[in-house]
Amino acid sequence: MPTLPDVLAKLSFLTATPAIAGLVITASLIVVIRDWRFSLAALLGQYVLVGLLLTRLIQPEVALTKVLIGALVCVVLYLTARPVGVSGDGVLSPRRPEPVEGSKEGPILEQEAAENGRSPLRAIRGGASLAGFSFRLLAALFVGLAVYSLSKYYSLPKVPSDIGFACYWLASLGLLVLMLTEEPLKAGMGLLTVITGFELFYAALEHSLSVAGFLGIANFLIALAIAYLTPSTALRRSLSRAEPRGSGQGAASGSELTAGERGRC
Amino acid sequence: MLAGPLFLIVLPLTLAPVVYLSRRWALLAASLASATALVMASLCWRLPLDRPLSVPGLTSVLGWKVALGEPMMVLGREFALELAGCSTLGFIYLMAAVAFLFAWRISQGRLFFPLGLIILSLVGAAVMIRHFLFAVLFLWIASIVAVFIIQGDREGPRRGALQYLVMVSLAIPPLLIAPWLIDLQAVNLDNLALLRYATVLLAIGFAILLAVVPFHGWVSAVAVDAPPMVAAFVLTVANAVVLLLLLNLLQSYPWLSEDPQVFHLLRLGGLLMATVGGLLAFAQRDFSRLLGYAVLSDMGCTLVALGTASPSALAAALLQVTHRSVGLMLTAMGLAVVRHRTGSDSFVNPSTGPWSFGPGTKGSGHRLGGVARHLPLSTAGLILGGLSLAGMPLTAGFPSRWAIYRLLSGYHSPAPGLSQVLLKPGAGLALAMLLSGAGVAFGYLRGLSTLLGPSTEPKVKREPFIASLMILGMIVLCIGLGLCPQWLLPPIERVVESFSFLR
Repeated sequence: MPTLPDVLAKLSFLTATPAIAGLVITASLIVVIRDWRFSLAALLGQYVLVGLLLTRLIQPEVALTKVLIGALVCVVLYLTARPVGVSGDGVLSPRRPEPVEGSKEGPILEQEAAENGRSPLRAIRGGASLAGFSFRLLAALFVGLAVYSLSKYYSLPKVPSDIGFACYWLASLGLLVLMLTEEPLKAGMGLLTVITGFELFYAALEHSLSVAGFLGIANFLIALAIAYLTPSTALRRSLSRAEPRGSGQGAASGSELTAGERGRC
Repeated sequence: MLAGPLFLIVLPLTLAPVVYLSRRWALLAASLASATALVMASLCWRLPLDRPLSVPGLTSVLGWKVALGEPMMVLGREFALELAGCSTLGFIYLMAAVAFLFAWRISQGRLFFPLGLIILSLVGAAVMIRHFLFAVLFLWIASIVAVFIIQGDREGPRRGALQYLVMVSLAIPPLLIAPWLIDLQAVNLDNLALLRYATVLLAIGFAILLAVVPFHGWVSAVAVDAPPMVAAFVLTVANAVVLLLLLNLLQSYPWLSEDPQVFHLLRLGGLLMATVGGLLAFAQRDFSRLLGYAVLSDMGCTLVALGTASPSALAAALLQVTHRSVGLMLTAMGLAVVRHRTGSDSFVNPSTGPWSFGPGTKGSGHRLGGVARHLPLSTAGLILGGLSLAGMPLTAGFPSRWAIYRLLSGYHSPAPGLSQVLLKPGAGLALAMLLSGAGVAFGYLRGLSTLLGPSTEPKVKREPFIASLMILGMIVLCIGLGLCPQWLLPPIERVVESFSFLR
């Protein structure tokens, strides 16, 4: 039976350019794709690829532990997102666009949609989704260019240049995700991506096992925190869709409605 | 013999599961959590650091004495309680005990008691561990746990909890890399650039944790989305521990405390916080957000005081941290009752804009008109606590603010360049702090005018008796500290003496 070093020796061809290319793709997918299933798969792939890169910097056993923690994080997020329910485009409980009174947008879209044989809601969602996709793709491209320059002129110490680029890439695209979304699950993936980029760099600086343990605990707790925040959001949104505005009864529900309105402002 | 650090870390951690299991019985859970925090507070304040003493119960049952100052090694890392840490923890535990007890009558979420105890254990570890890197890691984990209580068991917006999680997590990487740079410089003594990089990283990390503008968004978000007492708990604990870590860092690294740019940054950050906090507090429409900006303004004032780099300024800053917590707890208590009884904390009619005084008409978007008649003590607590945060006379916040104004008025910055124009005139800084406080006070007075106005919500239940008693106690404390601030001066002066970097 092959041992871990044997397996790693066979996979050593992956620990250079292919892993970096893989990280570029996975982080970009997390930014660009709104479907949580693809994003989560990309996050899992990201943890595996980072684990492969880490074998160049730290002991393989520690790198494997980091991959296992990443897998656990993904399991937690998957179990959280799965029962909530997914819309047609794979986005977790999307907010339904509200018709604007007096606006011509609605009837025109309805007409166009009828001509195209689609429902008006799908037409609006499809248009918004396409625009959002283009915007995110463009933003990822710009950030990618910035990262390329940054890693070229300000190389990170103690890590090879390709790994330095990967650290910059993960941290920057993670930050971009955080800037582009308020959805806890998606924002959580962005945060985890930033932390993964940092850990890839920090592993070369600090070899202490206790620090690695702390970082693992923090990652797992962040996943739990995101899981704690995610389903409730979906429930709130589905409730706000089901109930007409201002129908909150009693002090408590009134409070939540007020707070909810505040939060959206 | 039991080492103090072990006791302070393990006791809340052990009791947290018990409190969690008893969470359905609010009285039991609150009593257990509050008693635990009180026991730890009394240990910190009453036991001497230099010799073991018997503790009733523990010594008689297990035969153990507690040596509070005895260091403890865990996995090669040393935990030890020093004077500043001991006073800070004692203060944090006392505030936590008050918050837990209050949450018995006005629920702040069922997870508040057990997770609050876990947070106390983790911040205790962060304060007591000697290595800065691990202190940061403990603080990070405590902050992640805090996300659960910020959200509580409510179905509401997630912005506060999410922003807090994201911002704290983003602050950690620079704080973890900085110690590595400092260690690296210790073996490359000529490479002073490493220390500059470390200073920049520390500045970024602490700026995020202290909510310096432009990283301040999480404070108001937490104040809005978290239950009021949870917000007060998180802001009190986080701020006290982060400030202590900063002071310990300045104490440990003379090159840092001897760099005038560090104190210049503190002043600049504080000035920005106070200005933005005061201005935004002036324009708020609801008490929750107002609370967030009031805290921001007050924290800015503390940073400006620290930035003047003198022992008396440090004493004033520490006094302000203590007084802020009293004001914060008081206003949070009042807000919790008002929110619980009316379901709202918005005091300005959205249709008339943010500048109007008075309650507006019934059903116009808020329910606080005339609430002062139904909830007099809560209203008094809410407003008095807010005015204390603003540093108004006769409240706890005034003596420290006054001391800071006086210190600033005689202060001249040695920092060069643009800062000479902006920050050199100490009187200008003092005026900015004063105006910031005035902005906060104006916000609360505007809220008071609504609370005293015609009733828009006639069916408001009376305030709970126990909660009212606690609010009354805090009002007395707030006014008492405003009139006799010297009560707290001896312990604060001892803490200031333990920091030698300002001499």
